[in-house]
Amino acid sequence: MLKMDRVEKGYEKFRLQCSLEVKPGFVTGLVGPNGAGKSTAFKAALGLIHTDGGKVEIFGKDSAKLTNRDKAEIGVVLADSGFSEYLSIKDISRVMSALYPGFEKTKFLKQCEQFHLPVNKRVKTFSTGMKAKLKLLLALSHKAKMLVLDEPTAGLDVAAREDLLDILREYMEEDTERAILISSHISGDLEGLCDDLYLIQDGQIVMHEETDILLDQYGVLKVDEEQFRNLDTQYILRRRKETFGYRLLTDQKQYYVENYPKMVIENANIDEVVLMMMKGEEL
Amino acid sequence: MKGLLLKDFCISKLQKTFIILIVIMGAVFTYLWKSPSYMVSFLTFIATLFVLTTISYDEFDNGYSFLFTLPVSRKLYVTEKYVFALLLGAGIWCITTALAAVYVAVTGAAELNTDWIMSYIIYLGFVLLIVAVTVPVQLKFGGEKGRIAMIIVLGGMFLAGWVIVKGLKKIGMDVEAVLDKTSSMGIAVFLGIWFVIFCIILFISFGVSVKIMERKEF
Repeated sequence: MLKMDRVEKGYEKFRLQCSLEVKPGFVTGLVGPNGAGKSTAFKAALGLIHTDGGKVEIFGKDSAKLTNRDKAEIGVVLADSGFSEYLSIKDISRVMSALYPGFEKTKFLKQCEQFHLPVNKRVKTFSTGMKAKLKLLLALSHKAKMLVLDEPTAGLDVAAREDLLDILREYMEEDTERAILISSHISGDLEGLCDDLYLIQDGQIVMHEETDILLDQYGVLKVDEEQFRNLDTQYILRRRKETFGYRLLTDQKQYYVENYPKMVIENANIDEVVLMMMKGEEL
Repeated sequence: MKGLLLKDFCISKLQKTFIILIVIMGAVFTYLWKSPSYMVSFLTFIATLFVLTTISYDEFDNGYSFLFTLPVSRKLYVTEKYVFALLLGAGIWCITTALAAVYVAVTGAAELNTDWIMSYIIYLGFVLLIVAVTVPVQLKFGGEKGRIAMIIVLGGMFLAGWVIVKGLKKIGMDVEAVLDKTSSMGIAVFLGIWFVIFCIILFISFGVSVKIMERKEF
């Protein structure tokens, strides 16, 4: 669906060097701290910035050669941009009808009603949460083959987030060939939705893993100095100094469970993995 | 294209109080000056300026980023801006010129002949010339810087025109005689020349605008 192969983009104080792939039927997450390059990667994928090197392919085509018809197959949410807020949902739905052959106007307006979004008021008057809901409903409204969602749940309360994640799950269930690339700073959203995750830091992809593997096989070891000295560290990815000794991230939790039965070993969640990958040191 | 035009008409609709005010001013000045020329030239000019307003709205709040994720290429976006300006400018020109013709016919304020219509066609030409200059400037510099750039460019155009006329006179070419000769050519030739000149100018302006948008990053 989407393939970024050694895509590079340089700014004065930042350089993106990114390779990632979104496969059909997959929900792929892009995680990383603020300023890591998530939005730049999204913009490079969508052709909003000119890259210095590498290749972006969408639907098997060079992204520079995408036609407007191809672009109509992509639903997009950008964190910091949307339709003019001086328009109303009614205006926007008329524009969408004319732009997208697959726009499902009735369904879209029904969903707006379901999420309590007034159709005749200017978007400018909406709360942050209402604007986030509208952006996502628009991306979902035209039977896109792929969604590219940059922080789509930002500003939403827990209940609204869960509703929208359900809609994303339904979207994937409707057609097994569909795909989503999503970024979010809320790891719970990604854990429950994504099939695989990329971690980006300082413009570089530092980890790619399937979510199931990450949750099953990754773990955090809590060891004191002596335990650390006697530890087989071949499967330790990162180390972080703590008051009790070290916190260690491994992608072979079972190995340590079997060989060090007395050691404190915890399951890792996405937040923990991200934190350790970013803040921890390599051995 | 249709979607973008709809969007721009929706945005223009936001200025309805301003539009009503301009129309009232047009009617009042026509009545006071006993001439509809102000109504035609001013309303046509204001109508074409709406294209600049829509560009400002598109640019506002980082709007371009999302706009170009829609099934809209940069070339299509630029094309739509020119089509919008032409539709609005030519549309308002047709309506106001028709009203002016009715006014002149009813009041007898002027003679309805080819000279009369030609003077109105020249208005339209100049307004479109302004569009050809202002659209690429607005696309290049955006809202704030655009205003300053616009004043410099329009001032520069008038200065360049003055220098050219002076220069031609200096080398012995009588510009006024050339213009007189043009207007005595007959309406078909006159319109033909104007049409070709404006097509060339608009074509160059369009090409420059496409290049500007293609180089932009959002």
